[in-house]
Amino acid sequence: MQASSTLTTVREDVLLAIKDLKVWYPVRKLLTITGYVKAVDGVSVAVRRGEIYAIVGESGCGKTTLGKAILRLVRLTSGEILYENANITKLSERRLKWYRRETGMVQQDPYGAVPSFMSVKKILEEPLIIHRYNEKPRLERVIEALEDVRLTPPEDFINKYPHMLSGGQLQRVAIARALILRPKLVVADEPVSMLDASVRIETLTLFKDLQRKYNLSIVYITHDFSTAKYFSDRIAVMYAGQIVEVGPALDIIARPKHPYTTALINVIPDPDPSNRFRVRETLRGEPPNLMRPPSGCRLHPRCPHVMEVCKTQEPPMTKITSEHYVKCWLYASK
Amino acid sequence: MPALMEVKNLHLYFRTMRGIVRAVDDVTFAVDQGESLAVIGESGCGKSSLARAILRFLPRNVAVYKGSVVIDGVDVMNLSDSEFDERVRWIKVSYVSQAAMNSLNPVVRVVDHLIEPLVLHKGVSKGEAIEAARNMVGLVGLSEEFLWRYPFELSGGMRQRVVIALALITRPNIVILDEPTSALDVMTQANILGLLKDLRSKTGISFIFITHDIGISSEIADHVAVMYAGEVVELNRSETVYVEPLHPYAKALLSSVPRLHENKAPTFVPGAPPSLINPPPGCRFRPRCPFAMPVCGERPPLIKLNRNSYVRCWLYAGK
Repeated sequence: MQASSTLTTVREDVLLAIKDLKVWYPVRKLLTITGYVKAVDGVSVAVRRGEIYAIVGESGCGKTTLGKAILRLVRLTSGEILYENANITKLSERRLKWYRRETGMVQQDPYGAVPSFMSVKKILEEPLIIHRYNEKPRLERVIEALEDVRLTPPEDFINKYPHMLSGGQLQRVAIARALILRPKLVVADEPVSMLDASVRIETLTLFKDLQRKYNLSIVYITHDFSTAKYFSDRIAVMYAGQIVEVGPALDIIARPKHPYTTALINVIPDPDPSNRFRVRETLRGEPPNLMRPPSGCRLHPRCPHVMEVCKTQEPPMTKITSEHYVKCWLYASK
Repeated sequence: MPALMEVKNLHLYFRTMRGIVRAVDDVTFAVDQGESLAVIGESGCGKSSLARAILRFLPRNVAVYKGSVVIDGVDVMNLSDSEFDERVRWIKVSYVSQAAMNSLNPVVRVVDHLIEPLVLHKGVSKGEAIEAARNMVGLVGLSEEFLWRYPFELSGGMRQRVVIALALITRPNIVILDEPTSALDVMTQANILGLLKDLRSKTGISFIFITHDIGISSEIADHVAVMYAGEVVELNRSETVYVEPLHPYAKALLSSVPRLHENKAPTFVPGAPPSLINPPPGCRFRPRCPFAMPVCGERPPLIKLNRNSYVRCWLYAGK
């Protein structure tokens, strides 16, 4: 039941459809390829218009690679990515420039993402220059972008340099830059994990307001279930290069099905004075090496519910409700 | 019963090009035998400097360093550096720093890391030290063969266990843990917290747990100190801080935590903490506080609620 991936038409409300995508990084010793790190290994995703789609997973699960693949920043091994029904895996140079304009990116570390020698004005202007905007509309757009991210009054910020801004303010500059060409799709990879609690919520609230204003689709990549819960419409959980569960955000949090999702959600504490007396169940072991992922279900060496079938056969994506899917033998029709 | 550690009016200021940074400004708290204290606050609030002040890990640009730190009835602030080294550091109080798991020398075997503090600080023979190391790796949930491995062969979670073993091996009464799980994945983090809980019940050790992650802090804390701009604004039992905090900043901090298991949308306070160079006169939270009053222009008094609990806020003055 692996995604039947012959190119068919995509549902009207889907902006981005990924079908059976694989991104394998070759591991070389001298000149010979000795193996592959299977960072993304058979992922299918459909991101709808105007939704925030969270991809949640631990470090090394392939979520960042998936985000880069969506933006066509890494070489794809196989599979298809359809954006507005255009196959972006096979774009010409000219069409690729169009795709760059349709998409934006926000990274984790704002200090690393913007050049420290450029003023806020230059940072925001650069995409406009590349895409040949004239000077007057350019400046107007820059001012508007600063107002959008509430760095107001804009004239207070336009001539500042990154080191003069706080982390939260600079991340807002990065968001303004990602949105300045009015893209329809933004990939935000851990956009707030370097920020403090209050600033984190402030930034995400702002991001969500802009998402509504421009009817953006956002792929929100994070390790943090709790922000995903409040700031996304759907959550996909990734483990060892694959999506193991996907569904409406609140549904995933309140009624997780996959043993991996369940285990993660159970160990994340809310502030509560009784936590210190509680013993929490954790999964044994650690995520696998992606050069040699386990056979069958990739969680089977760690799973408390492991069965014989899990050791040899990869589980299919199984429907729980019309919106909630899980890749686990516990739910597959036997 | 006297407290295990009593910190009173502790100050640590740094001298910089732009002025004096008041990183730890008049901090007071106590840690009782077998109890653990969490120090929570946002980055730059002075919580790591507080750890350094207690352990006397000081940089060269110290401008003010004063107050008292009484451990087992002795004010360790009066000790000379060499006395402090012999009698306090790693004997009574040890430390796991933020980046500790990456500071293990990758080409020095685990066993050699572990025996060093025993041989150095306690003058134990090498044979006995190895025996102690053997017990200690078991206590932190690693098998004995790990003693003979090198840190570069271990995963992050395992290295963190080694670092915790290293802090415990001299059998101190208190371990200060500065963001011990922040660099780890969720599941590994849960494992380490489980280990800390287990160690506490087995050995009765006290932790001072410094973190920006409020949910995580509640896994360990009996008491909580909430820091803002170099000051402890509220010190209270965890039953109060996590449920009904008193200080407006503590309230704001708690409501900015997105709850996973209950449905309550997080909120934020606009603005940012003040610079620790020339912080605003009076209450430091005043510019952002929804309850600010004219009197807040003066420094709020420390309002004692109980032994070892107080709040620094005018709202509670005169009650």
